[in-house]
Amino acid sequence: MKKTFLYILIAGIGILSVSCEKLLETKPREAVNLDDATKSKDAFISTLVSIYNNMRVSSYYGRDFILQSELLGDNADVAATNSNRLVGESRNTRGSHFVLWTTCYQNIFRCNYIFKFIDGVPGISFSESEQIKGESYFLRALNHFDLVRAYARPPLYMHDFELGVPIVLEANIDANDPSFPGFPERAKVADVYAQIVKDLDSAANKLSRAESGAGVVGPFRASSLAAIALKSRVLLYQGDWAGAEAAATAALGKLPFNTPSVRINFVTDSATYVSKWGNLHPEIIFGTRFETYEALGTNSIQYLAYVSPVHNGYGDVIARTELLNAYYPQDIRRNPLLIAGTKGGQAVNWTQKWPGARAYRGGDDIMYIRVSELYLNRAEARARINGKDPNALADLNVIHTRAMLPALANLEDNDLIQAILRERRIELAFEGHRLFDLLRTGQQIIKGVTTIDNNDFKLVAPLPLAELDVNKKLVQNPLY
Amino acid sequence: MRKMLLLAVWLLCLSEAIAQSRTIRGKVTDATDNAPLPGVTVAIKGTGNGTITNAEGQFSLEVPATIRALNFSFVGYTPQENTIPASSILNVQLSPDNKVLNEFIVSGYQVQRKGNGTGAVSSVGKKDIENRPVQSFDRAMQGKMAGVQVIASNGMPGGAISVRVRGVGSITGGLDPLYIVDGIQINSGDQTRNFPTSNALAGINPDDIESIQVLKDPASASIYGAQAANGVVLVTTKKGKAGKTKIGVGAYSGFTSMLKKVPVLSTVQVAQLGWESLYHSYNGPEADKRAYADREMLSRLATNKYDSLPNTDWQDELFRTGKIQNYELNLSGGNDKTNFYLSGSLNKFQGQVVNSDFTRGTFKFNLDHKANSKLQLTNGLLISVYQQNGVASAGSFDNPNRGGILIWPGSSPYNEDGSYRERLFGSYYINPLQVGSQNIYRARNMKMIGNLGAIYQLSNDFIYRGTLSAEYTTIKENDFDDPRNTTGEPVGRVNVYDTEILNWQTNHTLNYNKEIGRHNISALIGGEFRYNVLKGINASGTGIPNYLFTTLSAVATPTGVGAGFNDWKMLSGFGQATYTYADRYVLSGTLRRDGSSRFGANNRYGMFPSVSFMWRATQERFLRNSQVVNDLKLRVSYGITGNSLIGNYASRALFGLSGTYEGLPGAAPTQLAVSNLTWESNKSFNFGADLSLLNDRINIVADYFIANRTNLLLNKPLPNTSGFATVLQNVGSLKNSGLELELRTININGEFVWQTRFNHTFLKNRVTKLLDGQDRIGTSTVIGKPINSIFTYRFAGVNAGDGRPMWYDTLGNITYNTAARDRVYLSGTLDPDYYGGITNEFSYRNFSLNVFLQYSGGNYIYNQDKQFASRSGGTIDRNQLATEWARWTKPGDVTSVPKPFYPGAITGTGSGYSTSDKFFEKGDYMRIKELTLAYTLPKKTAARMGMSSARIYGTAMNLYTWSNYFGYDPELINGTTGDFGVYPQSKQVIFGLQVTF
Repeated sequence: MKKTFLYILIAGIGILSVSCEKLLETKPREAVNLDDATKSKDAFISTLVSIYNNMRVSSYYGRDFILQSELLGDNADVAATNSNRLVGESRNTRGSHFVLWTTCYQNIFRCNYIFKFIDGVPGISFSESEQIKGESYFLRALNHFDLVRAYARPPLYMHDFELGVPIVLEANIDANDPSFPGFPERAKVADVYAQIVKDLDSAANKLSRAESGAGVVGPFRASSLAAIALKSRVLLYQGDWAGAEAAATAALGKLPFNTPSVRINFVTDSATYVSKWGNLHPEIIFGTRFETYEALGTNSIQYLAYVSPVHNGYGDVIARTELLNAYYPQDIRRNPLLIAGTKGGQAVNWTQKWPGARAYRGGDDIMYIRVSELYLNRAEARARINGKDPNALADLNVIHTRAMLPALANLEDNDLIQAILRERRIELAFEGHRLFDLLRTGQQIIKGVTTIDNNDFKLVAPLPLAELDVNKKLVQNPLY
Repeated sequence: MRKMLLLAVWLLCLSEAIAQSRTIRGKVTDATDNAPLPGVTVAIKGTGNGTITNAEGQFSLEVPATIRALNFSFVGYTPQENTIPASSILNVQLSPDNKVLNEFIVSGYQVQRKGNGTGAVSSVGKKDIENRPVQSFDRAMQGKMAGVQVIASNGMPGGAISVRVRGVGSITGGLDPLYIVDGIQINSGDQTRNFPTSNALAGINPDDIESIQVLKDPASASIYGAQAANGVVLVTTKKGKAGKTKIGVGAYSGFTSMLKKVPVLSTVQVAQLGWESLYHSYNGPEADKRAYADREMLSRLATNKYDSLPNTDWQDELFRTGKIQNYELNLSGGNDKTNFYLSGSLNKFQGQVVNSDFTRGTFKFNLDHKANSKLQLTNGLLISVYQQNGVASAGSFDNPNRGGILIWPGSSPYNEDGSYRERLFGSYYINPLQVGSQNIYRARNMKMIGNLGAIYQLSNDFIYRGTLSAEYTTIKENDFDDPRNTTGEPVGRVNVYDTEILNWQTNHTLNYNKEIGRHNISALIGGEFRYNVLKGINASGTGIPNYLFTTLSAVATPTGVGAGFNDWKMLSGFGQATYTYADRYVLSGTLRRDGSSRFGANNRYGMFPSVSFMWRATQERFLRNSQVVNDLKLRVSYGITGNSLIGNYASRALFGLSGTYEGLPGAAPTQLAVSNLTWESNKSFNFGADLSLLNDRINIVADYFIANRTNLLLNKPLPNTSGFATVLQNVGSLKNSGLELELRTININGEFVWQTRFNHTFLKNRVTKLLDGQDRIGTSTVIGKPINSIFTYRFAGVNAGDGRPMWYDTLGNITYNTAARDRVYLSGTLDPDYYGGITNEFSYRNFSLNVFLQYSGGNYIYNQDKQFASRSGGTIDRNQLATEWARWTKPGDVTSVPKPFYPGAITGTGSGYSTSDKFFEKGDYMRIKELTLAYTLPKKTAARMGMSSARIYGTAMNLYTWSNYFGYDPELINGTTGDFGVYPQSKQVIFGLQVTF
């Protein structure tokens, strides 16, 4: 009897220790099996959502991308008493620059992941599929655009360095595939721009089709209007004046554009124009907003650019004297869109475009593209085609007179273009355009006593060292 | 008639039997102090018959006339066989067994005599653990065992501690050893999700512990397989002993205080430096420079009379003398069938930083019961509730440890009316006194550990043991930002985390033991299953009506909800066999097969073998009768253990959560599949010797080990253009080797006794392999160098002519701007390469004095607090270290503090406070860790008062430290942020009383 019990016991222990796969199965709950997820359409909408969320992080459109462009250029400076943020950018210190590489390529991967798998998904309607694909094309284009303008020279002033950024159009998730993970080279700037325009056209087509069926989902998500509007900017940078003019006209032609939260249109009333910043501004073509739990708090753009009486702030980023001098007298963009204050005993001027409009800190809407830019794009494109084009001056005056200023007259050729560029500078100040506008127009950057030439190596961001270590086919920007 | 005959025969036999037996009576006492010994087994040799002594040590036993001798045995005493005198009165004196090498250890899944162990095991007993003001037993292990390094990574009461056995053995994986308490594998480390730091082991009352063993080499640890690569810590709690029920009452009380203050500047000095920095930064004639500096300072401080401003010593404000109290009651006792141990305790410890404390109540119950001659049951239960009130974490602006050094001294913490000043001047504008007294940072743990076990003797040779145990923990974390201060204004914030962790396991073993003449074979085979699951939810909100409402129910706007889930399972089979010949040669082998849900689908199971051999040289003819060497053992072992402290789902392709947008949830592919993911391996050799000389007056244990840690998990970088940054691979290796020494001597043994215990460990570490084609990860992990190497710039002092900071470049020339290529490796790393401790115990009659010195060194500490506070006045709005007063002022000044220059770096030069070897300080220190003076009441006096023993003592911990380190505490876990804002340890002094009835 004892021996039987003994044998049973040994057997029992033996069985326990022998492999029993079921006993070791665990299921994660905060992330799911990738293969299972790819089979349902919800996955793709969630992926789109994750891309939008990833674009408004503090290091990208959430704060840094916008402010760095102003600081690296000649619009903004860092106050003398500061929290030690973005100080290097304000002085164009070697290495202080945009940090977009990882974030943008993550977003591009997710777009490609959608393209790769969405066609095989059951239960998805044509309209839904077009909507998702349209948004993905737009986001892929926008991410490539931000990469190429941060890490490479603009098409018109390349200073003999023609390399842009790698164009990535395929998602590879199989680690056993021999081509994994892929070591792409830097494509030429011209090729990158060509791909961006191509993607924006696809986006506009698909989104128009989807919107005519199911309606618009924007302005905080991509729309056909956003695709065409962005295209006008891309073509302007590229020097395709006719194309830029046509795209801007097409975009303006879609106004007023109805979206679920706001009726997008040009704002003529100066009071509305000033007061709606951060809170569903009617000019928003594409941008982002934050729920209370999504707000970036002390890492928000308001916190760094303005000491709000309600929300506090570091208020480190202030307007440079050069910018203040660029405004016209009695310009509403000088006052009240800039507010005077003191920081650590220094007299400063803070932008009111990110004013802390919501009850929670960091709750401001951020506009990536807005209507006024379309007029400026078209004015410049027209002026470059024909320096005496009265329509160019008319477009310029649309923006100029809205700022409670008398209309400009008798401007032609280079004077006209300089006036347009000046208007662009003061209209779009603190919105993340300045460095790129300076680079693409071949201008020098004059900050206080320092003059930085257009071909200075420090004006484009260095490729991350870690990336160069892993991908030997990549070439670093000159002099880094 | 027949009945009568039967009765007569029976009576005759009886009387014959009676005539042939006698009653032996006597008393058993302790040879050292004549105290009576209850519970001593008095047995007739060769039979199971006997009795035990009563509470007065007396016994009475019916013994057949043929029996000439009786055996006396009692745990902790040398057994005796005594002949029965003619008078039938047998009084016996038993001597305590001080044979250190023959203690019993619970090693692996069986009990064995330490004397026959083949492995490297270090241990501490309860005398080194109990009655000390530490919140968890791991702190009490510090400096007491060779090869075991304990570092307080945080001094916050109840905060986490790091234990490293035989060095740092992984690059990305976990470094903690496996903790086993009474056979139950428990969770260790910080399980909180929001609170700065907490120690899961703080739930166990150190006074309930009988002994701790640390299994260091494969021979002892391999039976724990995939969890044992970082060593195994076995904790045994107190059990009852047969005999009179003992009641123990203990209490101690005392205080904590700062170890030291870091010298900082006064208001006038900071203002003066600020003035100088402005003066130097202005380009112009002398008068203009002065005017500019005056103007700027006036606009900031609203006055040029700096001595009219308050001068607040913020360290005095934020540190305090904290109170310590501890109360305890325990009962233990039993008889020959059952024994029990019951204890309850209450502990309150106030940290030396304001608004921080630790409170704990525990209840412990242990029961052993012999149901019959074959079956023994054990049951244990621990219920513990402990709460920590903490301070803001190291990086936040309201952290009082940073604040103490950096807050502008010209701010008084209070307004004129006595209320808290809400906004202080300068960058460190948050008032930590206000925030600490108004905000809530609290973590409350409730822990229950229970086990049920059975030991069944199947036959003479086979014993079955089975256990079922569970550890259940709930943690409630409360984080409340009061709307009255800058962290919570304007509407306040409430953040709550609830976590529940269940860890249950069962194991079953079959033990075989056979003795055939001089051969002894023991073997065991067993299996084990363990499941660990963590579930948590959390919620936060803002908008409370008034600061008195601190709960979630009061918030107007919910701002976030979340949850956590994590689980893993382990299934194992193991076996061990040991062959002993004549107590002279011992050969042992173990084999364990572990399967874990953490490993990749292709590598679910692993095999962990070990083999070891021990030779007891003193059993050989040439040493057997040596008068000098009474025990000499040589040991050698080799084995493989695994480290499975890797992520629970690291091997899967995952589609994970990724933010929200426009009210919709986001998710995206977040992880690539790694089907070959497996555990990290530890392949070790161990050579050891145990030596006992001069009748146990000198005991030496020495071990030399080489541990190859392979298959280390490294993040292989991918080009970011792929959408992923890294993929995990088992590719790295590093090598640890070291020498461990433990020495115990009884120097003087008489009425005055002096004993010494000493241990020392030397460690060497080298990274041997990284990813293909990679020779370094960052700058701190480099092939051929130890892990955590330091690569930094060399500071060359200050130019005496103009006050600019200087560094050495690659050629050794002076440069004023650092470039990445100018960095060099410092001779030490962030990890100490030697550590140890010396305990000297003196006792004279009833007094005893115990002095314990603990030391560690060979490392550098990154003093980041110092870096933040060494800006030579360039930042006017915060305080600086007192060393900054020696700044350069005029040409010819020789100093290491550069010219103050607003706002930081002198134009054209690098910043004087950028990272360089100026901020890496040697971490060598020696500390009087413990000093205890105790008086034990003489037994007669105690007995007269109705007590069986009484002891009064005073203990000081961290009494004094010898070190060149400028910061608060040189005992710090290494890390890239060094000591930045870390809550330092404290000094403690307690007085206590322990009485047993």
